[in-house]
Amino acid sequence: MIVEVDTASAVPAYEQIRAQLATMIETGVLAPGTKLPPVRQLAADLGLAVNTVARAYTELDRAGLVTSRVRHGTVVAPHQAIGQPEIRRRLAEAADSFAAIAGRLGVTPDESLDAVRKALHR
Amino acid sequence: MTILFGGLPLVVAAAHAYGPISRARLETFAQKQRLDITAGNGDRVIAYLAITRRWRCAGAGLGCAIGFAWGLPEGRFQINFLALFAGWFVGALVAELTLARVRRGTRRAASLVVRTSATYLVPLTRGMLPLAAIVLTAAMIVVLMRRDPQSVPAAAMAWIAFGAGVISLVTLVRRQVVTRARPGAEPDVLAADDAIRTRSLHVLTSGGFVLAGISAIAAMNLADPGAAAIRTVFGGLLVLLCGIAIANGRGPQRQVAP
Repeated sequence: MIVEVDTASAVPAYEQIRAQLATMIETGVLAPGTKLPPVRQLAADLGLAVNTVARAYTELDRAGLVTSRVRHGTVVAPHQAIGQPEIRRRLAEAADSFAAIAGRLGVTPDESLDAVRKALHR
Repeated sequence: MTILFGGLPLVVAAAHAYGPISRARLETFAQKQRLDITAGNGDRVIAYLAITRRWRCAGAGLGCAIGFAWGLPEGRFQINFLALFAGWFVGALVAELTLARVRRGTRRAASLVVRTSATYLVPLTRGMLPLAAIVLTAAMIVVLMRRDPQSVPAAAMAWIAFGAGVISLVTLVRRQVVTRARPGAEPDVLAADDAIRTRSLHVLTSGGFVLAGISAIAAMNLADPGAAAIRTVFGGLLVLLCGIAIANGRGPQRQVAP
């Protein structure tokens, strides 16, 4: 599982991390009980300040998606995973926004699908 | 003449440090770390070998020269093994800190797999530094028990403090090696990154164990000079053999993390 951050984006880095982790937790990709990497490790890997990653973890903790305990680290909390209809709805939403960008760039559907395939296999 | 002998280690170290990394060296590393060298990860491994060799050689050369200079006022022309080894070890520590620097773009990726020293070291190797700490504590007890508090040799306590300092420093740098940035990249690059961390942690653990062990022996020798010769030969040999075994040890079977 990979977390990606674009430091040039208008969305704050902590929010990018929070959103990605929240999605992975809600969809069950990160199962309850899964240990998340320590704040320092994730911050070093992403080249961000420790506080930035810590804030993302704090937000997830507040939302009840993870539990943080001293010496035990941050663990995915027990939760009800979202169902397939919701996953499909979110996927369709992401596909719509990708299609819109591809249309604005003037690329053909084949080129767009090629890009998606490459991204999926990365 | 003195300058020639004192400067010789530096010249030899510099000549060795800046030579190219041989294919044999690369293959040995790959074999030891069970790593497949590919077009994608070859440069990374070569850079690691070059940087670590450069710093370790520089440290060893400097340590040797300092050791040589140390004996000069007493008219001794000798190579001080401990100074050479300590210099090499300082070079190894500096190399690891140098490797932590990375160049980044605006798009960054990180794996969610948790890394700990257990990812790279087998339990026996992980236990060597705590073992060194126990031996050092035992040495301190010996030093304090054999002499009354007024006559505890300051040099013995200095050796204990040196050993404790080495263990603390190695623990810190080891943590840094585990948490330093990991490239979010292809599986072969990730495998090379794992191999590099595994090698670094083995070298640091080995060096720290040997220096702490030597410190404990030196402290006990000062507290109890009677059995110094036996302790130095057998204890020193045991510590060195353990150090070599740790340095050449393999990490746990690797599974390439996503």
